[in-house]
Amino acid sequence: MDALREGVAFLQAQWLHTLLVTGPDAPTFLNGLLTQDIARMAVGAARPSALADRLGHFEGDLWIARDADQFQLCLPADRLSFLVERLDRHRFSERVTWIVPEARNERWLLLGPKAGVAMATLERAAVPAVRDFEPLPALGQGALRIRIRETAANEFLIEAPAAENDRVRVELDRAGAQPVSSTAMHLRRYESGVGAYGFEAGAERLVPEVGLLDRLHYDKGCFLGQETLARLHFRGGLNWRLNRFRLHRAPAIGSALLVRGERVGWIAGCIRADDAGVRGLGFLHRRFHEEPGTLTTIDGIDAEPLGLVRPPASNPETA
Amino acid sequence: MSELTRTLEKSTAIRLTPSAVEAVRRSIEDEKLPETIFLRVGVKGGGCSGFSYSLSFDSETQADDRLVEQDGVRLVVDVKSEMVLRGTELDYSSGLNGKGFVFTNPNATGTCGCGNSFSV
Repeated sequence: MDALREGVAFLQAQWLHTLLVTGPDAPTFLNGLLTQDIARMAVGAARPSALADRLGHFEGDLWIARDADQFQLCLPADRLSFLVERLDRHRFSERVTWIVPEARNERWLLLGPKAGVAMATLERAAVPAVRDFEPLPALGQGALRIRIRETAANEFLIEAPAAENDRVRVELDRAGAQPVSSTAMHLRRYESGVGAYGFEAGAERLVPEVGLLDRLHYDKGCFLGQETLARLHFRGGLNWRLNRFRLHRAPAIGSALLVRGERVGWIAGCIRADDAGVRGLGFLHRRFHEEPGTLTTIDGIDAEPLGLVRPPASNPETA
Repeated sequence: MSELTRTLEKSTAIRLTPSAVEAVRRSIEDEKLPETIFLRVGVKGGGCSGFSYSLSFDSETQADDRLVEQDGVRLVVDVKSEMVLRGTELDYSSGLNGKGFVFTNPNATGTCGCGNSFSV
């Protein structure tokens, strides 16, 4: 975790599978179905997004990467068929198609306060033109074929053919990046107060309840679920929000959170922290968001609230 | 026009009210469009509730289009859209508080506040 908090860390994102979406109507088609502002994404950019139903319920999370002539939608394998079915259902005469590519590239996450410095080192090992998302050129021996997308400040998504896996690891190590486990990434997510589909939340919750505020854009035109989500955002009324907690031992998932005996929320997930404590994510009623006071779980474990996390300034309208 | 043979036929897919017929004719005249132009009525994916109505003028038909004529107005609708729009009434409301073209779709299970998007 030190590398994630103070240095630079990397993780091979093996859980991400890809759907390639192409066609002249692809930007508007995807923009109407996903929460992220796809039309404004620059070529080469990658951004997280959410899937919502027409009432704003959380149906999945994914990455979107924009290339010159296609979009890559990256998400866990078990949601891929759901996404394809969603796209099939909503396509009429739009000029858009999608495929699951046969040749699968690997993806790596590079994160941490020094990730930008590490990336500069890594780029010297790669062909600079690749960063501009031209088609991968025919390369001589020595050059590392990778694509780099900056997803947020000091966060990068690296894409490379599977055959380059060993080279990527060597170059990341040379750049000073430390490998981290998926558990460390989950802990990072817990520290950020953001839930994930299939872990802390599913379709029974609304997208903003799960903390995914940076994936919601209300000025991009209509998208699936927008009316409910916009009403919640601009008029208030979000009753539940995912909060961060520190606990001295792990409660049962779903345990009620109590304030003076009154049920005010529940534990949605917990993870062992590196200080031998436990970090939890739990839904808390809005009456207790700002000054929750002393909370305990129903099985008597003290739950110290660590506060709501506001989204980054990259999307100030949802801050 | 596609080489496939299609029949101008009455269809129960979409019905235009007299106001809508008049509004379409007026648009064709105002924009000096040829009389052979079609009004393409369809559905697009996306929008608050999942699907949105689309209206446009078109001069070419596609292989899966159905061609309908009502009161001198020629409509085309693609097969997949027709399944969702069957029984729909297209009206036109003008004036200061007019909403323009308004769809009343018996297949819609819900609509957004502005009425442009619907769910089935």
